[in-house]
Amino acid sequence: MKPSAKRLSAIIMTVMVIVFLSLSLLAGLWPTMTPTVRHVDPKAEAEQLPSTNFVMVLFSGAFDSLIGGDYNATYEKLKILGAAYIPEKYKFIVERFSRLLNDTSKLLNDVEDLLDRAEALIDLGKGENAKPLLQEASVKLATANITYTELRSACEELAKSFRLPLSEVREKVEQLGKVIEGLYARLIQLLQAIDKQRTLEDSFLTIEVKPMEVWTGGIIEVKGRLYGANGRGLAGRNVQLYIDGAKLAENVTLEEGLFEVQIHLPYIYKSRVAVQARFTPQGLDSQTYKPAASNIVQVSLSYIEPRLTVEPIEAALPGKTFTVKGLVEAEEPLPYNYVKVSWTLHSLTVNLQGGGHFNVTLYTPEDVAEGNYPLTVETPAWKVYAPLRKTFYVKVQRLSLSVQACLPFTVLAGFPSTLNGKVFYEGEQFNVTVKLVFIGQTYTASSRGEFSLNLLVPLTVLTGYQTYEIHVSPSLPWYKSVTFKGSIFVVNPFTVMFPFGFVSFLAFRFLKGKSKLEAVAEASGTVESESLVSEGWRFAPSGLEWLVDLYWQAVVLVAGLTDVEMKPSITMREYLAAVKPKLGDIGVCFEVLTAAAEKALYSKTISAKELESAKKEFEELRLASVKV
Amino acid sequence: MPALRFSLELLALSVASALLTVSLASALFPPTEEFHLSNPYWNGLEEFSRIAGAKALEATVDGVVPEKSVIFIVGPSINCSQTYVEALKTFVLDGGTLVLMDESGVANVLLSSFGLDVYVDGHAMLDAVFYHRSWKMPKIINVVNSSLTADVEEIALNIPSILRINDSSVKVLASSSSFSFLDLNGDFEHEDGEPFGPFPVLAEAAYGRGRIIVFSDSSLFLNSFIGLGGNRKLLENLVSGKAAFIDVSVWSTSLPLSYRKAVLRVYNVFSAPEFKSGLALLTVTVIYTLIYRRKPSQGIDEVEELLKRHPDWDKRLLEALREAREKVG
Repeated sequence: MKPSAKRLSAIIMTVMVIVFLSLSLLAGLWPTMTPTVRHVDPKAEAEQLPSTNFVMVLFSGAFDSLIGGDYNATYEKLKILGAAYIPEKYKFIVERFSRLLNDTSKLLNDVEDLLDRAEALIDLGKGENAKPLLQEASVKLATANITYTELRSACEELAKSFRLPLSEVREKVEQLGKVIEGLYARLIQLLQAIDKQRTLEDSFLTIEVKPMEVWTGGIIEVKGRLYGANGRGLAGRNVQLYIDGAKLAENVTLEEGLFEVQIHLPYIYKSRVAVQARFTPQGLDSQTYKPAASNIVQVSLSYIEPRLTVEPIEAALPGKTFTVKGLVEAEEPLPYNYVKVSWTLHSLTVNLQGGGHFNVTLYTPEDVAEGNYPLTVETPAWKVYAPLRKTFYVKVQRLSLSVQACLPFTVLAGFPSTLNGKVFYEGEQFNVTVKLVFIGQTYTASSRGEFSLNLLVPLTVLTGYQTYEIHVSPSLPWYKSVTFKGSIFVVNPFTVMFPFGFVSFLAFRFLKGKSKLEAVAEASGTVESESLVSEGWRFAPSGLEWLVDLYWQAVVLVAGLTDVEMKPSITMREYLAAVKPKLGDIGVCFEVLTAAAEKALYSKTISAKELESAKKEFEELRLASVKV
Repeated sequence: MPALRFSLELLALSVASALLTVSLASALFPPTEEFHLSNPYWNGLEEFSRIAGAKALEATVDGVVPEKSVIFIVGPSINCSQTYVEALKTFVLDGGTLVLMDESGVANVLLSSFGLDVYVDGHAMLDAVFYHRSWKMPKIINVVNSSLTADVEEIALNIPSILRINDSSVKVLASSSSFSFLDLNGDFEHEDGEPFGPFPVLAEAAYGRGRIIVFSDSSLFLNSFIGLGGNRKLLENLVSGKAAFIDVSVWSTSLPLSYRKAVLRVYNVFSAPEFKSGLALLTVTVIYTLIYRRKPSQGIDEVEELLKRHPDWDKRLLEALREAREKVG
C-alpha cells in the first residue's frame, strides 16, 4: 500500500471513530433526558386476571337478577360482565357461560309470559284456549332445564378459571334450579285448574248496550244476564264491566241473573270502544261455576275534531322574531280561546282572536345552529272537543354575507402592506370583526362595512407562499360567519439578495474572464497587452505596467520552453537562474527582459533604451518559442 | 504505516463529519420523546397529529381564532407562565375550547387560574375488572351522553388519576366503574383503605363563550391508545371540524430534541426558494466552470474559435501558443 493510501485510511478511521463516539453520546443522552411520565406500553404490559372478588360480584349480580325474575336486569348485568377484561384463553369459557345464562333467562321469561296469559284465559273460563299456551310453556321449560344442566358445568368451569369460591357458585346455581322447579309447579297447577274447570258448570253472560252511538263522555246503559248451563239465571253475583279492557263499573245480578248499569264514559277520542262484562266466581261459586266473559259490544263514539291551519312560515333567523299566523276551527264554536305554541324548548299560551284566528310572534335564540326545528301548535282536550297537536318544521338559517377582499398578490417581508375589503349584505351596514391569521399573527379589524388591515411580514420569513385565513364574524346573530383561506406570495428581499447576488457575482466573473489561450495570445503581442493581469502590475509605476505585463507573458513562454514553472515562492532572478541554462541562446533575451522588469518594479527609473531593448528581446523570445 | 500526526485539517474534517452525521441521524430518525408529534412509537402523538391535524403551539395563542380552534395541553411537566395563562383565559372567554389532559396534577395551577374548583388528584386510579390487559389501563364504560361523547361507549386510559370536582357548574362526562380504586401507596394492588370508585375522569366546564374539558389522563391519544375503545371517536368529537393546536411548550425538552429542532430549523431555512434556487444556480455555475476549464470543448478547434473572434490574429502563432501552454500544463 502506498503511504498516501495508508494516510487516507488512517484519516477515514479517525473520522469514523469520532462519528461513532458522537452517535454514542447522542444515543446515551437520549433516554436519560426523557422525562418520566406515567404511561405503560400496552403491548409490553403483562396480562392480568380480573380480581376474583369483583368477578364474583358480577357473577352473583347476574344470577340474583335471574333468580328474582328480573330478566331485563339479567341481560344488562351480563352486558356489564361482557365489558370486563377477559384474557383470550378464558374468553370461550366466559362467553359460553354468558350465552347459557342469557338463553336460560330468555326461556324463563317466555315461560312466565305464557303462564300469565294461560292463567288469564283460565280466569275467564277459557281453559281449553289456555292449553296450547301451557303446552308451549312446557316445551320451553324443558329446554330451559337442559340449558340449566349445561349452565351448571359452565359455572364450574368459570369458577375454576377465575378461582371463584366454588361453594358460592354452586349455591347460586341451585337457587336457579329452584326457580325452574317453581315454574314447573305453576305449570302443573294451571293444568290442574283446567282439568278442574272441566268438572265445573259453564256459566254464560250476555249484554246489550244502548245507545250504540254516543258522544264521548256520555252515558251508556248496559243490560245483561248471567245464567248457568241449564239457562237458569244466577242472581246475586258480581259482574264487572270493562271498556276497552279497563274496569269501569260493576253490578250485582238481580233475579234471573239480570243486571242493568249506567256507565259514564270517560272522554275518549276514539271512534269505537269495546264494552264487555265478566263474571269471576267467588267463594262457593268457584267450586261450582266456570268464569264467564260476555259478548263484546262495539260502541261508536262521537266527538268534534278541530282543524288547524298555519300560514307558511319563511325561514327563521337567529336573534330575530318571526310571526306565526293560524286558524283553529271546528264544526261547532270552540269552547276555549287559546292554543299552546312550542318553539325551541319554550312554550307559550296564545289567545285565539275572533273566529279562531291566532297570531304569535316567536323569538329564535341567537346561539341556535342552522337546521330544521319543530314548531308545535296544540289545542286542549275540552269535553267533546278532541285535542289537536300539529308539528311544523321551520328552517332556521343565517344570511350569507358577501365579502370582498383585495389581497395583494405579493408581499415584501419587512415592508408594510395593506389588505382592504368590504363586507355587506344587500346594502345593509353592520359591525363585523375581521380576523386575518397570517404567518402566525392575527390581525383584527372591527368595522362597519369596509375594513382595512395593515400587514407587516417579519424579515425572518423566507420567500415562498404563505397561507392566510380570514374569519369574518358579524355582530348580528342572523348573519353567517365567513371563513376563507388562500395563499400570498411573500418575497424576502434580503434573503433573496444574498444567494442571487453571490451567484450573479460568480457568473459575472466567469463570463468576464477569457480563456488562457486568448490571454497568452494577447500576451504574445497579437493584441494589446491589457487583459493579462499580474500581481506585479499594481506595483509598477504608472505608464510602465505594460513592461511588467510583458515580463509575465515572457514567463509563460519560457515556462513552455523549459518546463520550469514560475512559482510564487521564487524571485525573478531565481527563476532566471533556473531557466537560463535551459534556454540557451535566447536566455539572454529573458535576462534583459527580467532586468527591465525588475527596474520597472523596484527602481522606477528606466531608460527609454532599456524599454526598447526589452520589447525587442520579448519579440525575439516569442519568435524563438514559436519556432520551437 | 506513517504516524498520524495532529493536523488541524484532520480535526476540522472529523468534527465536520461528526456534526453532519449526528445532524442527519437526529433529523432522519424519528424522535422517541413522550407526546412528540412526530414520534411514531407507542408513546408518541403522530396518529393524534394526523387525525386532528394538530399544529404545535409554543406558549402563545397568536394566530389562533378562538371560536374555530381547540387547544390541547397534554401531560404538562412545566407550569405555564402567567402571561400565557392570561392568553389562554382570553382564548376560552372568546369562544375557544381548551382541553387539559393530565394525571400528575401539574395542570391544577392552570385549573385554579380559571377559577374552577376542579383538580387532578394525582394518585393512580386502577380498575380490577374493566381494563385493557392490565389493571393499570382502566376501561371507562360509564360515559354520559353528550355532544362530546356521541357514539363513544368506552374510553381507554393508561394509569390515569381522578378528578376532584367541587364545582356544581362542572359537568362530569365519564366516570370509572365501581370496581376501580385509588392506588394511594403506588403498589398497583388494592389495599385496605384505598377508596373504591366510581370516580370522575372526564369533565366539562363552560367558561365565557368557550369551554374547558379536563381529562385525568394524558395518554388517551398516544399512538398505542388512540385505537382502543372509543378514543379515536372522542378525539374526532373534540375537534369536530375546528383547527387543533397542541401546546409543546409544556414539556421539558431533552438535549437531543433541542438539537433536532435546531437541525430542522436550519433545514427549513435552506429549503426556502431563494436558497434552493441560489444553490441550484451555484451548482450549475460551478459545474459549468469546471467543465469549461478542464475540458476545452472537444470537436471544436480552440484556435479556429479564437480566429473567428479575432480574424487579424496569426493562426500559426496561436497554434504554437497552444502547444506551449499544453507543455506548461
